[in-house]
Amino acid sequence: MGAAPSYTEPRVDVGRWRRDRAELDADEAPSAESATVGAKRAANRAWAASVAASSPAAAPQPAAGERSAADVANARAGASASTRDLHADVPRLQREWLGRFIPPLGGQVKAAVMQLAVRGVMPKFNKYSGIIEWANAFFLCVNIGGDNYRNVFLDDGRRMTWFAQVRMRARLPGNCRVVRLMPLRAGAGVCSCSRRKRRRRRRSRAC
Amino acid sequence: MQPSQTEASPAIQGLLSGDRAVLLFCRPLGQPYLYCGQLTLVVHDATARPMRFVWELRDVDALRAGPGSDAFDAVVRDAA
Repeated sequence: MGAAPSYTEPRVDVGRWRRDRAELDADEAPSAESATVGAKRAANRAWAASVAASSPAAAPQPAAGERSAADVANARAGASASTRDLHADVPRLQREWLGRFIPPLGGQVKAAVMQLAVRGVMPKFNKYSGIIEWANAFFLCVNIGGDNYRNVFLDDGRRMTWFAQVRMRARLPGNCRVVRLMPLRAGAGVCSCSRRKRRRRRRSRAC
Repeated sequence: MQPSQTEASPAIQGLLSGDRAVLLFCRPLGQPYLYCGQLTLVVHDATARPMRFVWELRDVDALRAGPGSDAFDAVVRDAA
């Protein structure tokens, strides 16, 4: 077993990368394309290939003009939709990214994962959560190593233990609703928000 | 701070229902995420706090056979 592979972030102009990805992902209509647009796309493909080759994982190319089932399902969602409303392109992740490091987008490692799962848009997601919910999938984002993480692999990597998030925050309006739905549990049924906050939230039907 | 997660949490219910794919992304210290494939739920303990799950990695053979085998082995070793 060799030493752990090190990762060096390639120098990427994030704005240009996003623009070029959006162009690469756009549908191609050869009959309507002018020669200038075609040349620009060819140049973008060459540039994207050079960026991908600079990644240690040798990121594969997205096939221009190819629309997956997820792309079709996401067509109705807006450009700023949440991951919950979008379909992750699981077959493409399986085909192209299994066992590969996902190059960060301007130092943002989780955002890079989210953008890989859909094409052409940056979905909204909770960057503090370890579970990212999509319309068709869940992404578990797990930190490995260090003293604060207890996730371990068993059976030579065939199984993994995983722990849900531990902190109770009954003060969140959403959790107040959950607590009200669990009257039989110890301590449940009573919202811990202050009376003033409860009154205010009751008016807004949040609590 | 992250929200609480109990068996009643929508995300946990979604994980337990098994009607959606579950994908694993592992992040070793100081590195970006490594895509480790799809998971199948083996068992969960709802009485534990925090809730504890054991997942099976469905693509472990493909991970070991592919170009990312060293990276995956390093992740497994770090988490051992």
